[in-house]
Amino acid sequence: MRIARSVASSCLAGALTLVPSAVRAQSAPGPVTTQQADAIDRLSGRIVTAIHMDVEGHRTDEPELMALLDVQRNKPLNLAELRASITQMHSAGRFDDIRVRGVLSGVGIELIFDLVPRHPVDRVAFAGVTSDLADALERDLRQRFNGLPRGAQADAAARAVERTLADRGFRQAQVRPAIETSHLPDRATLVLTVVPGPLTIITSAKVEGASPLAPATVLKRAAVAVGQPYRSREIDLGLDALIEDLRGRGYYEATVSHVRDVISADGRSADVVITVESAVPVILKFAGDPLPGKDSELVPVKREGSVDDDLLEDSVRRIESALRRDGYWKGRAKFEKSTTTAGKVITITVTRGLRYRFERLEVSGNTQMTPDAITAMVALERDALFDESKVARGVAALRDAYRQQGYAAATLTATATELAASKPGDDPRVVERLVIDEGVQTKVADVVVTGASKLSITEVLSAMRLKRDGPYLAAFVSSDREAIRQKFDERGYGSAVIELRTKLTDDRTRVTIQVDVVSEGAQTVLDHVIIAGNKRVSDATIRAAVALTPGQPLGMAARGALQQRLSAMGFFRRVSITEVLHPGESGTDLVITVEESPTTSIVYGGGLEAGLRARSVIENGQLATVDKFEIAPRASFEIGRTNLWGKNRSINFNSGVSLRPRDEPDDPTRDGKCCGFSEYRVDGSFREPSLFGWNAQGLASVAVEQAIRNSFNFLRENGSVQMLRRLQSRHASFIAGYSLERVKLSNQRIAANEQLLVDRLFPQVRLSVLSTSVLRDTRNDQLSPSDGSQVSADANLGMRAIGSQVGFAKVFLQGFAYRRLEAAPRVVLAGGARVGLVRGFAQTINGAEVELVPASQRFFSGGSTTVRGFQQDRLGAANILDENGLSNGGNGLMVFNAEIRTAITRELGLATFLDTGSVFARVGEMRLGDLRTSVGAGIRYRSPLGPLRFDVGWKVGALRTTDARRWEFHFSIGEAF
Amino acid sequence: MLLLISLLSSSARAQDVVLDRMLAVVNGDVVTQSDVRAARRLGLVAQAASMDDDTLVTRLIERRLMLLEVARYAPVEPTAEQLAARRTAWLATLPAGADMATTLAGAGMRESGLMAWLRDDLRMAAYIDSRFTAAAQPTREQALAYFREHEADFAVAGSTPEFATVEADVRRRVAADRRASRIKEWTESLKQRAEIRIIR
Repeated sequence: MRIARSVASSCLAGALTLVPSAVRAQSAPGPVTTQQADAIDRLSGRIVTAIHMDVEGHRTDEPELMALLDVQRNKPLNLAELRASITQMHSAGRFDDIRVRGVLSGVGIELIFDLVPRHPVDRVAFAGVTSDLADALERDLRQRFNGLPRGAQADAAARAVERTLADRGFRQAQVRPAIETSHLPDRATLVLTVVPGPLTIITSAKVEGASPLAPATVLKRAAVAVGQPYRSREIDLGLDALIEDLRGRGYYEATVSHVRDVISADGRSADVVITVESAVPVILKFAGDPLPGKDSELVPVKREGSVDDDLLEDSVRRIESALRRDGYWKGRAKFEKSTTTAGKVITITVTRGLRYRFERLEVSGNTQMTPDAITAMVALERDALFDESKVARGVAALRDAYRQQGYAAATLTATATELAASKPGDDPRVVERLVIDEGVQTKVADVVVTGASKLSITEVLSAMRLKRDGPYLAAFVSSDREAIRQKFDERGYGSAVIELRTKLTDDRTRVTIQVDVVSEGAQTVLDHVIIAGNKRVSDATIRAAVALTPGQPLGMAARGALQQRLSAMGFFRRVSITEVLHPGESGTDLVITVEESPTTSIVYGGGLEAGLRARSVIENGQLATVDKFEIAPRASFEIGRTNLWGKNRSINFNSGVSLRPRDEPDDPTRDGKCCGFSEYRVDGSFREPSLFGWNAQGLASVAVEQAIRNSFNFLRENGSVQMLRRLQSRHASFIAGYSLERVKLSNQRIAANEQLLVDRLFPQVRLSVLSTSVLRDTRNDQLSPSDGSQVSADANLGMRAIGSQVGFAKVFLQGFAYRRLEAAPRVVLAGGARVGLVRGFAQTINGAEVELVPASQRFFSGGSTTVRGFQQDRLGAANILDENGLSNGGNGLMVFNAEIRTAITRELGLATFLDTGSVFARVGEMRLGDLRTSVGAGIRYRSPLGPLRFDVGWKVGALRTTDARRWEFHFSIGEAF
Repeated sequence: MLLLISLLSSSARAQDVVLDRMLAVVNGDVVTQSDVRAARRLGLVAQAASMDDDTLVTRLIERRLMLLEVARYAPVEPTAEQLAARRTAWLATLPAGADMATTLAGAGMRESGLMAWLRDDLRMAAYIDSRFTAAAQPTREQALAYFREHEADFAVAGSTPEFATVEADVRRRVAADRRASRIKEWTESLKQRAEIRIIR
């Protein structure tokens, strides 16, 4: 906070205030004179009575600045601490110059820090060029420096502009940089004064060499014309395009350059010479059997721009490898070159030969591994296409397995033998014979550690994989050396030098490992943590996340974990951590520079929902329900603010609305007619990242929502609080919460006499619910996972004792798993299972004990995310559906899904699925045999908005009278599960 | 009142001392006035006592750049014996009767800082030796050519000795010259690549 200068008055205090300013104006920077040096000596050791900060003449008392000082009030002045204070203040990144003056104050000394704030360059101005050219120069400068250059880069910026001008023909341009500072706020403008010099003009241009294109065409493509400015970069770009064109015409070996251009001594004229060597066109031909893949990938002559023998030999090897992968064990390829009048002809001849299948693996010489284990490692199944490379991979894995057990000298020899086909027309077969010579097993006799003083021997040994009496693996020597070095690094001894030596016995059965800690080096410890760049997030919040204390050893792992913690806070667009070594000291300062993300976010969106909806009509003079296809536009708006009060708190407001046809089931003349906002949602939430200082997040929210289901509409008003805590595994979390909500049903399409008692008794119900969930999510992608799983268990308890009108207990378990097939990487297998149980607590109604579960807590199924052969909420046991197939919901739910997702291209995919499930009136009625099944297929499109999905499901088995038809379609965003 | 202010100003002017200040910034690292004092008072930079401040600042800048470069190649750490010997050699440069703790405090340096400085000296010397010494050794022809150009430097009592008798000396001089020249080139290249700001 700046304090305005006080005006001199007759007050002595006012006069004393002026004195330091007058003195400052007279103190001269420059070399330390002997007199000054003596004065410094005299002042050193005096008690510091006060410390002031003057920022460009304005006194400030910022506690963040004071915290950077090692010198302290009421302590003797220590020059080493003073020097450290200057370093730390400079590391904070706010000041370009720091001076410290000492002023005698009685027997003590006052310290005054004169600070010149940094003036970051936020503008660049050009003088001496037109505004268009200035804009272009600035664009180029920003691209070269990834933004505006810093003040310290002024000279480099000037040289960069000179290079840009040279590319534009001003080959003798000179640029002079200057920095102009401004205040309040402290900024600077980089002023680049340009003296462009003469423009180099093309005075002659010619094309040499052999080119299929006319010289005039070449010159035009290269943007070269006599009388025009000589723009070297544009010429380069034009010639690059020309090479691509020539290669596209089959001149794969074409080269184009203008290295022989001649610039006059005065820089005013240029003679351009473009040399084109296109060689002859190359014609690539394929003969014999089809290529086992794309020719551009197997024979990349066009991409590489070459037809030299090395490239062609590589291509032949690639083709033969591909043939063998496809089972053509003896497939061969060759290339031939010939020259015709049309050009150079490269003929690739492919001879596939017969396709072989794998018969069996015969193993001999093994004692340590069973034949079954060996066969599993080779992983070739009988009748599979014989792929020799797969055998080689299996044998390599086997060899590695032997070495892991200490059989360092084990040799494995695999020989393939052909068997004739068992009958004409069959593929011939191959028997692979594997002969194993295991050799002797080498074990570690002892591990001896010398030279370690900063780590105990036990700690060193614990870092190693080579253990006494364990198997010896040569590969572990280097990895153990690195592991020990990392152990030292964790303690701050980043420059420790470790050597591992081995001594084998003559019979090679035992080895002694000698670990020499050659030198441990100096320990790097943390001295200060300096935070720069934060405006809203408080220092204290950042330091709490840093969680490192001065004096703590600093290793690579600690630095890496720090970066992750700071990024995970969610406040910052960018975090950079720099270490500042104190020259002549072993301590290290960490300077954390942050760039805060915008605190306010606004998101808005729109969409379209389409689907079948039950509507009332008059049929044969009677009220009936039919399905009609409807489209409903939707809009949403969200505004959020993060980083409230300098901490990671956030508040969000969401709203969404859907314009739908009217929903009046009792009036068929109005039901389904346009329009009304029958669906909307408004909610607000507040998130606290550290609830009461616990390691848990808190969330409080209120919401009002009106939504439509096939059987009814509902209006829900809800207030809830939740606590979320990450469990030890970072994929798992635990949630506990409480909610109070009021739900009102309306526009029920099920006839009153078919509605459940609870819905008739409580068309509007208040629920007070305790809830708890455990979730484990290891999916690699939340929108379109291809690996991992998600498992969760939710339990809800509504109790009249805490204000609920209806009591119930509800459990919902779900699990989903995803796996990409190794043999077919484009295919992902997905599976899911959901089971839900709810039971109402007995209540006495009109003298009878009844168990009531309100509609909002009952289960519904059918639709795009459950069983896709059914419309939304139209799946269930017969006793929960009315004659139109509308569901009352039930107390028991089972849904199982299996899906195969195949990527056709990067954006497009196909899916085939099998869904089975049902909703049951009571938990006791749940039977696997009563599930209804549908199968189907769908298309996936990976749009910029997310995966779009269109599915068609067909019911399997006999149709019921409540089934409108055999099939249903669904269009939505995101996967079904 | 004006007299009072003037008197106060005068007395304060006499007591207002610049205790420390930034003199240069090298790749974000600060060189201060106290670094210059320490280098000069403690003899941490060769011939610092006879250098002017600008030259000493340049030497300190070069030292910082060299240390940063050396650190990239994980040089061999000096042994405890080597460090102790270096410390003893430095102590021997102090005036007779000087107290080390007082001397260090007066120069604004702690003993840990001094030991770190001496350790860096040894690391740098090891690196420079490994990088430049062997490569600076001349061939016989190069030594002979040098001898012919500088015969007068090797003359004894007015007469030029045979090359063979002074060959070892010639080789030493050539190696030293070449080493110094290469170190200078290396330092210049470090400075060209660095961000250096001198604060006036």
